[in-house]
Amino acid sequence: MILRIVVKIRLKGPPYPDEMPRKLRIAAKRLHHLIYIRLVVTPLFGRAGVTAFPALVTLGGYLLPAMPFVPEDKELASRLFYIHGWLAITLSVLIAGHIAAALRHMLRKDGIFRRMV
Amino acid sequence: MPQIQKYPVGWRVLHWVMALMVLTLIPIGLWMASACSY
Repeated sequence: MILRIVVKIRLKGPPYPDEMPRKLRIAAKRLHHLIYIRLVVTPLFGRAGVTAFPALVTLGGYLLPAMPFVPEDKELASRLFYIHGWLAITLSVLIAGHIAAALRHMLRKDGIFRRMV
Repeated sequence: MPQIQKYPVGWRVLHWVMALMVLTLIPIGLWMASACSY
């Protein structure tokens, strides 16, 4: 995700087409920003949750490094997992909206979808 | 068809890698949430 953000900052994306309505441009930018924020914050809450629980052993038996400054506390873990869950649900909804918008652009053949393939 | 100015290759590759990861993680997260009693 860090690499993704670095690429986004360093490599400038193409501008939106002139014929794209201003409201749609603003909506697209806001949706993208919300997705980026959640893609960073949601895993942090999950990682903090598994550190507090603690549940750091993964399926393959690997031990995840604990998140610093997060104490072992099951009550805290419960709250962190609750927030993580809601962030994940809202992220899923935003991604569904993103995919729906991408499909709309693909069907309209306005060139927006083809910029990313 | 309007003139298309594509995103840089690195950007496009990372976008689809991220998309694959996130779309894989969503069902895994739902499965984990349903499997644990927390």
